[in-house]
Amino acid sequence: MSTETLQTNDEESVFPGENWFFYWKTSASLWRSKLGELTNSNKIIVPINWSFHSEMGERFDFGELKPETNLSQLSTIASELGKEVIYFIPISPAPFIQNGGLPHFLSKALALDYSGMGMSQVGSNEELFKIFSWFDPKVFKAFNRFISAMGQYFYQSGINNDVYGMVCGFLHEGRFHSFLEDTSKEFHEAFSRYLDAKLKDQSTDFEKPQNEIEEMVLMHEFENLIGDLYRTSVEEGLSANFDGIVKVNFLGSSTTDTLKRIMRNEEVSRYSQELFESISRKMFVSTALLPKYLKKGVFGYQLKELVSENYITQMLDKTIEEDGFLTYAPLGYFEVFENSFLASFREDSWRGLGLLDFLYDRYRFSFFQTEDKDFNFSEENVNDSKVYFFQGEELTQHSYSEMLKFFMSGGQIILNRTGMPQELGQRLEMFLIENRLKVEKVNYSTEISNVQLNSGRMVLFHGENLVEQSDKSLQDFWSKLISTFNILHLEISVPDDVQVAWQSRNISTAELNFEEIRRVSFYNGSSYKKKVKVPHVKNFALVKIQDEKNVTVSNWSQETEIELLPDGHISMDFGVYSS
Amino acid sequence: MNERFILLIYGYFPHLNEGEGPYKVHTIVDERGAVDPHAISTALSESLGRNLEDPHELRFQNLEEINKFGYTLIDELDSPEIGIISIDSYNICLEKSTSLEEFKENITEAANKIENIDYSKDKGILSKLF
Repeated sequence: MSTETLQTNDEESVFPGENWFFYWKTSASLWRSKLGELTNSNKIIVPINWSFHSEMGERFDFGELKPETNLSQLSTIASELGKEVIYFIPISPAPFIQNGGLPHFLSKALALDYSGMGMSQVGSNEELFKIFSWFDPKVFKAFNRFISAMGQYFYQSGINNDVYGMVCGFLHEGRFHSFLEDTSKEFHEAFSRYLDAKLKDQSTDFEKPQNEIEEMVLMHEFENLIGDLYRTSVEEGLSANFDGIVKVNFLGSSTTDTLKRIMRNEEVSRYSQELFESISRKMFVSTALLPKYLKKGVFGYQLKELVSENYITQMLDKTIEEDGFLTYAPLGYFEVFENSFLASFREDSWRGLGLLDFLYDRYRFSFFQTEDKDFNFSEENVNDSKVYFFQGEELTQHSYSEMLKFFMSGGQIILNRTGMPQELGQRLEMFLIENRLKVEKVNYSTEISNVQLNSGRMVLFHGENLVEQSDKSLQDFWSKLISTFNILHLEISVPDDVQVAWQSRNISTAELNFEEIRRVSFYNGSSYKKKVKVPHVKNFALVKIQDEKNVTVSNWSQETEIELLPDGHISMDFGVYSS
Repeated sequence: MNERFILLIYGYFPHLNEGEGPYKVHTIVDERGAVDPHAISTALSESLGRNLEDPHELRFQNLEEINKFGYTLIDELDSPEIGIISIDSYNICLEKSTSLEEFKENITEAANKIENIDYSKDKGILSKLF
């Protein structure tokens, strides 16, 4: 093996991409020189490797024995280099560490995925990583002790860096699966204990699940409960530093990915699609498991442009936008709320109603999906002018109240009333009557009620009546409904193999003719030549074309024609004005 | 592991005992990329006279049916060999492996391998067509 290969592998191991730094993979004496090499952003994500600090069993090492466990020194060095370390503490198994990050003495039961397959990953240097179950009570007790020791260490060492709890997982069929989800014997034993405890609890009228779906819902509830325990442990143990929870989609980490990677059947185009999906779900994305040779071409460029340069900083630090820096952020006209687990059992899920396909077709990379259990209203929601979609069936008392506050403050809402709890349905009717709001009703595939209050708008419909409709009817339904909202979008027909990313930013003083600047980027990851036609329309003035690679641009009176060769990409900046 | 090796992983789910059977295919992987659903459909039809209605629900009554299907599939795909392994055996292989190489070897060893006796690397164009 050549020295060059060794160096490459070392770099790849220490910096697995997206500004992450694996402190345990290099000597502490090299931290300063290595961190100095990171130029993408001043934020460095440092995941905590529990097992690395726990090699002595219950005695934790934070620099006493191995200098590489000295996180205080790491924070200081980064700070001296003008960089900020953000710590991510895994609150689920971590697929990029041996045994999923569990100390060796706790790695007893192989975790099994939803289909019963042992969970494992192939690392960037072809290592085999296995995931072990976190449902053994001993694991939680040990985790708690570790977090408690770490909290004390942070306090005593004066480490004031932000800490996030990190849920590691992967996307599968439109749903994020945490590596905590597990169907091993340990999980089933813990679940049985949970069911027994619920049955014995006299204060509730809980009954044993009657069918497979009820049991799956309860299992999901139990998984969330255990996930909350791990989260709370970090939140309380490191309360002075704790800044929230992040979900990280590790590309190439599902069991199916592992099998494909064993067969050397890497699908870069799918990783690229997942990157886009992660951003639209406001998740972090990590390529820590992927070898460097895959992070090249269009995919490598997307990682740099869409993730490393701005996205990470924006996700971790909202103040950037407030300070008026001219950085681009993903553009979104819609915010689609839905719990993807519950949606998988429902015919009138947003996918079942054709909404997600419609948005993908017409507003690709311009909408967000969120799984948050509760909607919390803030002024930001009104200012972003997005249309919010809610499923009535998932509304809690809290979300319902927040949703109405949002509407009364000028927010735009589309609510599927099917399955909405009866009490909330009645409260909504009362709200409309008490506030003497005029309800305009129209029948178009289903009864649609439109309520307007100043700039606020609420559209109510019954999704159940749309379930049997053809795909074409559903597309027409959404097209008609969305056209009643004032959305200023440049519609571009893009071939399936070409990916498109929309971003926006505030204007600078030299751009006062516009209200905002939008950037559309096209990427051709296919092996064929592709054409995209960008129409010249009112409200969108082409300001700049940049980052052209393997493209030919032809300007015609009605449109700009872009020919993208394989691996080609281009970005176009438009000044947007509404009048 | 043979570079044209196809791997089929199946699970036994007793609660699926009705209809097409309790053996369900989890994954079929091939180093050349995704296995063509048309080839899967044709192999199912030719081996067992059944139509594939849902590619995610490839089910069989017993192991003999899986083997028949596997043999027809490699013939259809012009692949030299298929390895058929249960989820339980796969998990055992994973548990006892400490490296990726070892894991691959263990899977290859544990899988029931069926060879395509008609496969020839040096087939001419005409024999490939007919």
